[in-house]
Amino acid sequence: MDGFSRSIGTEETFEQADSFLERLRAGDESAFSEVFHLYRDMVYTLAVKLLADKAESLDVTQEVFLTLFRKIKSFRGDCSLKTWLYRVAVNQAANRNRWWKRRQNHRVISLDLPHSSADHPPPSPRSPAPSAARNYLSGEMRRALTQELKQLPFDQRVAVVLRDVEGLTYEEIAEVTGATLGTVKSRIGRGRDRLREALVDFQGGEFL
Amino acid sequence: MTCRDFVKNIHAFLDARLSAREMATFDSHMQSCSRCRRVYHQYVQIQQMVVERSHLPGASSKAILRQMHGKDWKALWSRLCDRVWTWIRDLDRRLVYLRASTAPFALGLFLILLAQFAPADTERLAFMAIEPQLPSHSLPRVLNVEVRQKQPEFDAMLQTAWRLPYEDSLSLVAEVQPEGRLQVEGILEYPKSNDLLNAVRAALNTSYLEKAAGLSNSVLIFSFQKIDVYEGN
Repeated sequence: MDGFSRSIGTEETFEQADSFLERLRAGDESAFSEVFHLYRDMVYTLAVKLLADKAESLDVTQEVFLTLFRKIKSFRGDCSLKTWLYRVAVNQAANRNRWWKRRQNHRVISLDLPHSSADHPPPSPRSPAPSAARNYLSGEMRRALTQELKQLPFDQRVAVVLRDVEGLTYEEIAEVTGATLGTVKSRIGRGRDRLREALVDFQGGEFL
Repeated sequence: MTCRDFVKNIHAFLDARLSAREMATFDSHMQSCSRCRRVYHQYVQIQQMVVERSHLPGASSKAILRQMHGKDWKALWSRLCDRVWTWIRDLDRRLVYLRASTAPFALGLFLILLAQFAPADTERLAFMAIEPQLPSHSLPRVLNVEVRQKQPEFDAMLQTAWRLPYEDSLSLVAEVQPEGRLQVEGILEYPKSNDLLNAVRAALNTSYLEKAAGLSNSVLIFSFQKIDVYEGN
């Protein structure tokens, strides 16, 4: 496993990665298991962040690895295996997202969010509060942000998640999504701005 | 640096996509401006909250591995069903409606095209009638003529032709008279045997095409070819 994780996606040991790809192409079960164990959480996390639905995310994860299993022979190796998996995962999630979007006739507002309720004004994070209340606030804020992330346009969501969760560079995001660098920058900026807007709303502050 | 510049370029700053000098300028501005510092911390807070990772449940990992290695037929079958359902589910309804609405037009067009091809002569008597107004290179059009009263003559004619002990062929054109009688107009290809010619000529002269009555300037082409040679009685 360690040897593999060193070899994939790093230029200095690219030949080793090639030999590993040969094992995959030859249908080596242990090679598939290694790839799966290395990237399963990465793919699952990406799907959860993009779809906000665990059952759908499980399906997407399964589909990604079965696609790897079926299509590895047609993988030309012009990008790293990791990038390729990201790309497959984003495409699968986009398919599922389109379906959900078509059937989502109205925006679902979580009953857990108290920010619009006059009876329960949001507590200010700056006020001194006991740690339990602070944890509650943190959980609520996280939920609000998750909800807002879910409402972002899919392209912006992909860009923000790939950058802030997966830590990909702008160039890698462009490679995964097939967008230009300028488009990636713009999507990340807009997505983050909307999230910050939601955060400011939640905190009851002013959006600068 | 102004606050506007700070907010405008903050994403490049957050992602460390600026030169060292620009990063230092950002840092110094942030030290001196509390509002921009707050903005920066809000973005950092968002990143911290969004970054939380998920872990694939162990049971799902095992199930996926089993499927990858093709050992779980039940799961494979279930996946196949799921794929079919997903395919149906993902069909764009507007596209389906569009296709459904165009189907009658497509079907109509197909029927019109089909109608351009005349049905084959089911009686297989090789009587092809063409209208002389049509260009000479056009194919003979099958007119739905039915031989009723004098059909025995045609049968006799064909039987005579078929009994010939050698290869032979005959093509002629007969004009369809308005009352339904046939008159030989010309012989396109003479047969080797006069028996065949006489039999055909006599059969045509005594025939009566019931449905052809009333047709004007129509002709009937009779063509017979026997290519198999045998020693008959």
